[in-house]
Amino acid sequence: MNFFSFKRTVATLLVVLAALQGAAWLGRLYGFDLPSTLEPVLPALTSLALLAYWRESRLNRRAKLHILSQREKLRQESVALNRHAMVVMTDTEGFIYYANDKFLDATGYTQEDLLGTQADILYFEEDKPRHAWLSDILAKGGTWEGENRLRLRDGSEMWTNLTILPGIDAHGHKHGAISVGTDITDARRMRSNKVLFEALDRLSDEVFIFDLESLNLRYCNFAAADSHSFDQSQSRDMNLAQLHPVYSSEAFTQELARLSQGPLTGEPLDIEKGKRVFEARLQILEETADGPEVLAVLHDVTAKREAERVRGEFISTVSHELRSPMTSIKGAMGLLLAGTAGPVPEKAHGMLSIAHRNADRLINIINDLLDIEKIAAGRMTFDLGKYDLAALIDEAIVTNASYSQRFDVQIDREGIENGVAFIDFERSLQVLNNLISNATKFSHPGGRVVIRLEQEDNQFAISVQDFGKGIPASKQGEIFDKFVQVGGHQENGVRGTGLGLAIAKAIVEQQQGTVTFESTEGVGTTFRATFPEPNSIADSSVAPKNNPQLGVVHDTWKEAS
Amino acid sequence: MKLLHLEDDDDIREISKMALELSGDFEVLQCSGGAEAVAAAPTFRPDVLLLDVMVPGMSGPSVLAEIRKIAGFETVPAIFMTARVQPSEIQAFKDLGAIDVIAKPFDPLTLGSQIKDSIQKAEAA
Repeated sequence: MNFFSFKRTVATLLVVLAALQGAAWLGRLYGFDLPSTLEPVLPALTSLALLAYWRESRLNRRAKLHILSQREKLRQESVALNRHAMVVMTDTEGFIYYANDKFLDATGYTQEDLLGTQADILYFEEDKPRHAWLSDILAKGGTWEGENRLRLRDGSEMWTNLTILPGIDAHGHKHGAISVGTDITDARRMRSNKVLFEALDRLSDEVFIFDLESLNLRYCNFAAADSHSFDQSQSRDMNLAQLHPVYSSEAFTQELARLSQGPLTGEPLDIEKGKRVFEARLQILEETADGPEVLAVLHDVTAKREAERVRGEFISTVSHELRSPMTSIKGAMGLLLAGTAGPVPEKAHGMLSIAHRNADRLINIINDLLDIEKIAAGRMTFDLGKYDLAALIDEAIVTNASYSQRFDVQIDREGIENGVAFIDFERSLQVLNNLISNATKFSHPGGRVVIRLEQEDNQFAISVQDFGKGIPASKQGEIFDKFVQVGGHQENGVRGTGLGLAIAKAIVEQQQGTVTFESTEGVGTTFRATFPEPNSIADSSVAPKNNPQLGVVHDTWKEAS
Repeated sequence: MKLLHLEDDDDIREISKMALELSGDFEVLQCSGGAEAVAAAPTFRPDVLLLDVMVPGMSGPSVLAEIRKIAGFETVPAIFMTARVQPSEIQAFKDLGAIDVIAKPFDPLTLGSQIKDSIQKAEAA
């Protein structure tokens, strides 16, 4: 018998008993008797009613205690839930009408921020379509569980494990939604870290994560542990300084100090461990509760450095071994042509001239090949200073005088008189010589080449214009490629290496300039090289023409040592 | 002007001798080895040294250092002749005490005037 049916029975018995007692009382008052059969039943009924009443009272008390106990249990569950989870309630329109303290503490929002505000405030713009989809599910009485991203008050993100279910009002009707979530940001990070660490373990580079101050290891990959002969699982008990003296070196310490103050990512640092050389890239990771962490990736460059050394040695050897015999060949022919060994017959003079010219050509080829090698290896050096481009042009005209004479080409100067630029004089002269000799070579006999100096914005431009045959449209796209000969096999009896323009372009670009050209077949070609103004240089002195190194502010850089 | 020339390559030595004779301003003593050049310096008493850099045995820079140790030759002008003519290399040779660097291959017709120009510039500086 359940509680409510028992209560009804007791109530019925009490009513019947009250009716009988009432009838007995009325009988005594008006002098009639109840049926005699009822007389013995009445006390029993009374006892039964009393017993029922006693029992009902007892049950009532139990029920009250049960309700109280359940209420307390609910209260405790609520406290526990509020401590453990973030709870937000929204109405049917999606406005927030409740957010527990846990939610407020974790997200940084205040009651004022949230109450009466659309729940959209909690989501990133890109996540909003997904939340609209969730609202549809809830409207149909469904629930949703999964990982969800919240937008915190400071704009950062928090990942939560979220359950959203429809809310119920006091009348048992659906009313808005209840969201219960827990912060799983760290767990997600750990999960992604695990994937990351598994990937790092497959790298041949050594990877360390360590505390910036103490150098205590937080992580190292398999390659790093193997290289220092310890078990990777013990990395958390290790200190970087224990692994190799290089981590206590002044250079390494200075790099860490610089990192802690300057940009988060530094330039690679060379580290030598035994006979091996590493390029170490250090990066400050995000701050943790224990302070900043540093990620160090050590890439073994021993083989690369050795290859660079061999390459440098090769360049040096080629440079020396080829130039020495050329000195004798060209020197001997030059002396013969000058008549130092007696008069040279005309025919022999002509043949000697050809040999002498081709010795020059061979020297140029050697120089071009060495230059292109240096550019490719990043070993071309630049000695930058402030120079007057007028001096550069004059020098180039003098250098090309005999060449232009040979081709019967006149070189004219136009444009502004002077322009001080921040350049490597010798390298820039190499560029201009190349452009002028090309222009001369492709001019018609009796033609002219115009060298024009102009100023524009923060730079100067030197253009070299010829009125020759122009560059075929089909060749224009590859004009700066290596070994491209614009004139085909041979032009006016002169053929270059096809490296000159590639070298010129590389030199100008290394000086923060550009080389461009315009060409029309049958009309001519204009090459234009730009050179930056020395706007950041304090010294205003300009190198005189005959000694360009005097009074010059130098700034030498090397692309790679 | 007395010029002490160090060059291990016979052909270049010959070309250089002819080139210097062409100018008519030099009395030339040529040596094919470094030790020989150092030994010759006190007796020949050169006014200028023309030194090849890469010489087997004793290199041009070593010869310069040794000759400069000899009394009276502490400031004798020296010119290196080399195929190593990178700007950084030229600077390195000048840092060793050379007044100039002549690149190989050189022009034999102007070698003499090049040397005289270098000496004049060094004296003016």
